[in-house]
Amino acid sequence: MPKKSQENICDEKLFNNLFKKHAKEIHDFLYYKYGADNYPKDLVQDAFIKLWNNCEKIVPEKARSFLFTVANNQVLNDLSKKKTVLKYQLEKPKRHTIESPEYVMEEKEFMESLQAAIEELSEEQRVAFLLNRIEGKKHQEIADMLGISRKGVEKRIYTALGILKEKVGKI
Amino acid sequence: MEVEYYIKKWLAGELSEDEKKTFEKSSEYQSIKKISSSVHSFKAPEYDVSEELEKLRLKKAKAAKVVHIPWMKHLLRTAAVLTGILIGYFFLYINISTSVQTLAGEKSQLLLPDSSQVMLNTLSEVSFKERKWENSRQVKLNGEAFFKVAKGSKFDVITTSGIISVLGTQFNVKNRIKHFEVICYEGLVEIQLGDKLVQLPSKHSYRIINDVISESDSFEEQVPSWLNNESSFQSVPFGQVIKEFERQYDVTVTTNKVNLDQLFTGRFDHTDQTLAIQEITVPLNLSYEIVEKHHIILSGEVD
Repeated sequence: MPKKSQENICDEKLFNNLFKKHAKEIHDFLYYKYGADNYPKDLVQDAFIKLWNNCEKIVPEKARSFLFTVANNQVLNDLSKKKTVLKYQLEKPKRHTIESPEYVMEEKEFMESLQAAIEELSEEQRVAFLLNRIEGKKHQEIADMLGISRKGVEKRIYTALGILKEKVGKI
Repeated sequence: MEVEYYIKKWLAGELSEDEKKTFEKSSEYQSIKKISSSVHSFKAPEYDVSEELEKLRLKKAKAAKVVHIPWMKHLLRTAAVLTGILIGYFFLYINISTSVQTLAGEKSQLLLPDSSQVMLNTLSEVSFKERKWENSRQVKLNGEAFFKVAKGSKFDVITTSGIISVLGTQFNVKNRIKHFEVICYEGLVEIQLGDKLVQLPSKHSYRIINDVISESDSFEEQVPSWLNNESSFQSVPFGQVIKEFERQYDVTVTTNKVNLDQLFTGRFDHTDQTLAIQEITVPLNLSYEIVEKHHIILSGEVD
C-alpha cells in the first residue's frame, strides 16, 4: 500500500491497517520489556485508543513511533508498575524420549535460573536481547524501536548474553 | 578480542559460513548455545491480532459515545463556572480603590505607586486604583491637594469640576464648593473642563470662584502656602476664606453684617487659632467672638 501524507489516521480502514501492521510488534516489545504482569495487551489497546483520539494530529508515517512512545510512557507513568515476570513454556516433551528423572530435574532447574537471570536484566538489555534471539529481529530494527543507535543495540545484546552466561553457566 | 568479535557477529547474524563453522567449534559457542536455544521458551504469548482489533473497535465506540462526551460536558461546565468566577474576581480585584482621607484640621501625604507625591490638605480625599496604575495614572480628588508627579505616562487628576492632566510636574488642585483652582508650579498642566481645554504653564494659576473664571501669572511661592501651615488668598471672596478657616480649625463660623463677596487678599495661620482670627478680621475691621469651643461669630461694624 503506497503511503500518502494526505491520508488521515481518522480513516477507519487506514487505522485498522495500522493496527494489523504494528499491534503484534508493539505487544512483543512491551512483553519482553515489562513482562506479562504489566498487561501488554491492554497497553497496546490504550496506545491505539490514544492514537485514535489524536488521529487528526498525527501523520500515518509517525504513527508507529507515536505508538511505541505512548505505550512505553504508559508503563513509566504507571506507579503500580510491576516487576517483570516472563513465563516460559517448556518445550513439549518428545513422545518417545527416555528422559531420566535427573535430566528432567536439571532441565527444570536450568530454566528457572535462566528465567530469574532474564528477569534481572535491565529492561533495555532484556528487550534488545529477546527481540534479537526470539523474534529474530535485526539489530537495526531493534535500534529503530528503541530509538537508539545500532551500536547501542549490539552492546546491549552482547552485555545481556554475558550476564546470562555468568548467571546460569555454572549449572 | 577475537571471541567478542565472533559473538557479536554471531548475534547480529553476520558471520560468514567459514567463520560460523570455526565459531561453532569453539568452547565459547557451547556455553551460549544452550542459553540461546532455551531462551525461545520465553517467547511472548500468542497475540491474536483480529481478536484484539475487535476489542479495540468496541473500546473506540465506547470512548466516543459514553465516556468522552459526558466528560467533556462536565469539564466545559466546570470551566465555564470557573471562568465566570475568575473574571468576576479579576474585575473586583482590579477595581479596588485605595483612598486616603483627611479630617478637618488634618493634613496628610502619600506616595502613589510610581513615587509621585500627594500632599493632602484638610477635609480632602484622594482615591486611585493601585492595580490599574501602570496602565492609567488616575487619581480622584475631592478637596485640595498638591501633586509632585513623577515623570512618566499621562497623569490625570479627576475632580467634579474637571480633569487635570500632566506628564510630570508640580501643581496644586483645589476643588471646593464654588471654588475650583489649579496652580502649576512646574511643567505644564492641562485642564479639561467639560469640552473646554485650558493649558496652564509653569507659575500660572487658573481658578473658578462662584462661576467667575480668572487666570493669574504672578506668584512667587514654590509650593502651596498650606504646606507651610498657612492659607493665603489673592482676591478671593471672603466667604471662601471663612470656609477654609472652618475646615482648618474644625469650627463653625457665623457672620453678622459681613459682606461675604468682598475680595480678600492675605493669609492666615494654621497653628494658632486666635492669631488666625485676627489675621482675617483685622484687615476688614471685623470683630469676633468665640461663643463656644467650636463656634465663632464675626460681626461687621454697625454704623
